[in-house]
Amino acid sequence: MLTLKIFKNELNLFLKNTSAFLSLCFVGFLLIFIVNLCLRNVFGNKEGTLFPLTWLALFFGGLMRVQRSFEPESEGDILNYFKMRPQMLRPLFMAKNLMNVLCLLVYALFIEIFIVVLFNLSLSFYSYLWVFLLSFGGIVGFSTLGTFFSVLTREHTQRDLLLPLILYPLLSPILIASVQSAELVGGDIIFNGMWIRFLILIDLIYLVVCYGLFGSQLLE
Amino acid sequence: MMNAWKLKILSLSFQYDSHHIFSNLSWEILNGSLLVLKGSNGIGKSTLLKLIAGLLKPSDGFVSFDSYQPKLAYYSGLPGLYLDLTALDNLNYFSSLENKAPEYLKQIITDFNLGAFFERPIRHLSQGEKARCALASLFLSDADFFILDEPLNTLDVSFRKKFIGYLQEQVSQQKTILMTTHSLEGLDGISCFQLTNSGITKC
Repeated sequence: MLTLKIFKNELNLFLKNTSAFLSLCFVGFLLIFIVNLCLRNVFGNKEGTLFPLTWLALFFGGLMRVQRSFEPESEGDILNYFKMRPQMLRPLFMAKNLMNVLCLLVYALFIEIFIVVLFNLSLSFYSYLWVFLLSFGGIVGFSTLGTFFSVLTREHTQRDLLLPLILYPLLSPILIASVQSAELVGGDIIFNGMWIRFLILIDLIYLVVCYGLFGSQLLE
Repeated sequence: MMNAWKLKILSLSFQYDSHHIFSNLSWEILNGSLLVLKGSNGIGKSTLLKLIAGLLKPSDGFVSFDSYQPKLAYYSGLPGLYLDLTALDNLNYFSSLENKAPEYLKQIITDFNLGAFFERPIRHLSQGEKARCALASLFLSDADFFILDEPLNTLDVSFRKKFIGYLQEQVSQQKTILMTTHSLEGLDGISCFQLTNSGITKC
C-alpha cells in the first residue's frame, strides 16, 4: 500500500517534470543516429543489430535516468523524513525502482521503434514483442542496481563518475545475458534458453539483495 | 492518554572528521514541554538536534529515551518538500503516508494560513512560505516529539506569533517541542537553555 502511494507520487513528479525524460530520449536517438550514420554499411545482418543497439542506448540513457532517482528528495531535503520512518524505506525503494523500470521501458520502446525505422528492419510483430519482453528482463536488473547505488552515491562529489564505475562490472552479466538471450535472423527470432534463465536468475538475485539491504545502507 | 517519557543525553560527544563540535554533553528533557535552545553560531545546536533525531551517530556517549520511544519529527530549516509539486500536492502526499483524514489536512491548511499559495509549486514560493508549508507538513505527522531547527527565522511577525501559539497548544496536548532560535521575542515563559562550550545551562 505504501509502495503504491509513493509510486503515485513518483508518477506525479514525472508528469510535472518531463524535461529529464525528453533529454534522455534525445541522447538515445542521437546515439542511434550516429551509429547508423557511421556503421550502416558495416552491418551484415541488420536485424541482428537491434539487441546490441537497444542496449547501447539503454546503458547510457539508463545511467542518466537512475542517476537522478533521488534528485527530488535530495533537492527538497526529504530523505530525512524517510530515514526517521524506517518502515517506509523499502516501499520507497520499490516505488523508485518501479518508476525507473516504467520510464526505461517507455524509453526502450521509443528506441526500438526508432532503430526499426532508421535501419529499415523487417520484423514480425511477434519478434518485436519478444525483443521488448527481453529488454524488460534486462531493465529490471539494471534499474534495481541503479536505484540502489544512486542513493548510496548521492552525496559523493564525484557521483557522476562513481555510479557508472560501480555499476559497470555489476551490470555486465545483465548486458551479456540480454544481448545473448535471443538472436534475430532476418525477421525471425531464435531464443537461447540458457541465457534467458540466467537473466531471470540475476534479476531475482539483484532484486532480493538490493531490497534487503536498501534500508540499512541508507541509514548508515 | 499520552505515554510519559524522558530523553536522556549522557556524556555526548560529536566530531566531524577531526573537528570537535562538543564533548561530554549531558541533558534531560521531559515530555510535554516546550524548550528553546540558544547558542552562538557553530556551537553545535543543529548537530545536537540531528543527534537527538537519530540522523547522526554520536562519536561518544548516548542519546536514549526512558520508558517509551516517542515518534519524532524533525525540521531542518530546509523545505523537506518536493519542489516541483504544489504545496497542496505535497501535503496530500505526506498526509496519505501518515494516513490522515482529509479533514485534518484542511485544519492544518487553515492553521498555517496556506490558502493563499497552496496551489503554487514549492519552488516558486518565498522562504517564509516554504517554511510554513514545511512546518505544516511536519505537524501532519503523529509525532510526540517535534525537533525544530530555527523554525522562526523566516516567518513574518504575525505568523510567528500565531505559530508560537500553535506550539503552546501542541504542548497542552502533551506533545514535546524542542527548537533552536537566536531571538526570544514572543517566547515569554518558555523554558530556555543555552548551549556553550562547557555544556547546556538554563538561560
